[in-house]
Amino acid sequence: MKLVFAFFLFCTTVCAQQLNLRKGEGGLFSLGVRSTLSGFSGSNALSSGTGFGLGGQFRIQPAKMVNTDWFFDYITENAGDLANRTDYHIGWSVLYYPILKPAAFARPYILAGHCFDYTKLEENANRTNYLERWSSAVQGGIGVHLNLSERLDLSLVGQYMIHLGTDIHEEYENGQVIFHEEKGGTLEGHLLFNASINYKIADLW
Amino acid sequence: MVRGFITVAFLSMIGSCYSQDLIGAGLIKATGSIAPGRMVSQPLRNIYFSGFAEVHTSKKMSLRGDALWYVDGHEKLASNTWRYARNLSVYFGAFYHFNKNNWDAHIGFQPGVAVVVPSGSVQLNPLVKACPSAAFHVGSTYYVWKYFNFFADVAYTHTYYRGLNTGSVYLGEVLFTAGLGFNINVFQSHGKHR
Repeated sequence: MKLVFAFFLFCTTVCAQQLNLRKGEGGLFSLGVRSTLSGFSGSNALSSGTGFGLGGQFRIQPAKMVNTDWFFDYITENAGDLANRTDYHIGWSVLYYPILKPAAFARPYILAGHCFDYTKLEENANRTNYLERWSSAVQGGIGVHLNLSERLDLSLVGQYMIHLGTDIHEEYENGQVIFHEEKGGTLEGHLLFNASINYKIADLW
Repeated sequence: MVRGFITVAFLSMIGSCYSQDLIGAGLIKATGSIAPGRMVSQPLRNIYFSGFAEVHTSKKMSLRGDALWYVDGHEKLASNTWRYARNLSVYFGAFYHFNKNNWDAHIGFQPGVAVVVPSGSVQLNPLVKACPSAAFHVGSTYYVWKYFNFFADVAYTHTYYRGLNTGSVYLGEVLFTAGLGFNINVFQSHGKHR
């Protein structure tokens, strides 16, 4: 009980302090959680679907108009009626603020970055029947921070992520689910929408 | 009607006795309660133990974590195809508050995860799955004293369970919870919007 109280006291002390900037916005460190909607537009129609995911990120802002976003996402979705797909993303994005008004309620930005991902396709009725893949990706998009307070923001992002890797997909043959991994690299893209809550923890430098 | 009026008058009377500015940075709230829920796409009503802990970072903003533990469910129709064996959901996010004196209304958004095991009646040997989820809240709190509050909260949770033999199941649910909450303000500097 003492530990729980001490934890809350610590959180409150950290969270409720006024944010003192040392030399402008450079050095700001934020922590956040996010929900993700993912719409695949791969060549295989059966894999196309809307995924829903959970993730987290931290931000380190190196300069006044530039921020960096380091994220992890866990996304699940249908792969037809008989299989499902799970994606894990880990990556980073650089955020550029074209408008220099850090105190504005809405602060739009452009982002681009890299991502590594792990994908697993699995048959619903037979979990020993699966196919997995590692690949890399690049992403770009636009977003906006809605500054709810000096420390807290709600960020809304729309981005397109292109994966470079071998294409994996499911097919139905004679009532059986068969997973295929194509030979040779291919580009597979999907649209991602994120809504995240971020809290500025400290100004590191 | 009369009973409602008396209740409101009574709460106002208590509130006027403790009309100090309770809501502000440093306010910590926590509670445990029971949350009945109704699934959006299934004719099923569920009951959860629920609890949350919340820290106000300012008068208008707070960070809050919620947990829901499935207790039991009630089928409204015999054709129901879904039933939980277990469900533990945890959420964390931010809330925006509209407050006046001791009244406080809030809206909130929380990403989260539901760790779900379907019942054996849904599928033989079902797997435990971590299902990404998100919760949207709207509710109100009335601070009756510097240590107690009465609250009511309605949440909509958006969740899918993937990987059943029959495909995915949408587990969206509307949950209601209300009751007694506990609060303490560990700071004296109220009302600053940070």
